[in-house]
Amino acid sequence: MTQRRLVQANLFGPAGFVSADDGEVIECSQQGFESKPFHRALAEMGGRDAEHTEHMVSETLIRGMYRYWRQVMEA
Amino acid sequence: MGTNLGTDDWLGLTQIYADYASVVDSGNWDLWLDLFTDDCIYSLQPRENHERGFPLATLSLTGKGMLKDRVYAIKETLFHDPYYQRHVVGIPVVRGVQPGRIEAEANYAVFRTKLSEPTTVFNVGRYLDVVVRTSAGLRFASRQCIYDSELIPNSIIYPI
Repeated sequence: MTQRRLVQANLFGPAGFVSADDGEVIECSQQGFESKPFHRALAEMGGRDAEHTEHMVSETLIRGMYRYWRQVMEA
Repeated sequence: MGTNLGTDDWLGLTQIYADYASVVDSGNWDLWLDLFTDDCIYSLQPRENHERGFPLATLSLTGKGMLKDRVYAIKETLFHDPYYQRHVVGIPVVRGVQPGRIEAEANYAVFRTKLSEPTTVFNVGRYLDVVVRTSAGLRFASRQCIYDSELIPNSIIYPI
């Protein structure tokens, strides 16, 4: 079991197969935000709706989750 | 188990340490694979966990297949800001010698350079190794990279 957990842990953390590039992307984004420190920055990917897309490079899922959350909370 | 090495084994040991440093700085990650046995262990672990006997590691790779997977990730799947790395590795300390098998360790410092930024100290620690003799020469059966600081500058993409 310890061995299984160690292998799973390869996915996460600063050298993880799925999370190392998250840190890299956030660093790149941060550099972009810093370019105008006297302004506020808003990063959007692919509009403001939760429309259907043909690809995974989208924030549709997270916007859809919050749309549903709002719907439930305001009901 | 002694710690005396013959001249040939000492030359071989220092050569594979030098080869390793050369390979991981070259950017040719496939060469990294060639320095390990098929059933090798490669791990990258903070010193704090190592010294307290905790197994959790930043990377824990067992078998050359997992090393190949890492190379594939570096080349094809991990999005990252590319960088150069430069290893400075100390002379190995031999901790144990058996026929065809050497236990040794060495200090290392890895510097990272992104082209538009000054070079920074990236990762510092020591290698704990088991080196074995194979038909192709000396190879790492095990290389544990035990790094001193628990703080990592964002991410480690390439092999230490």
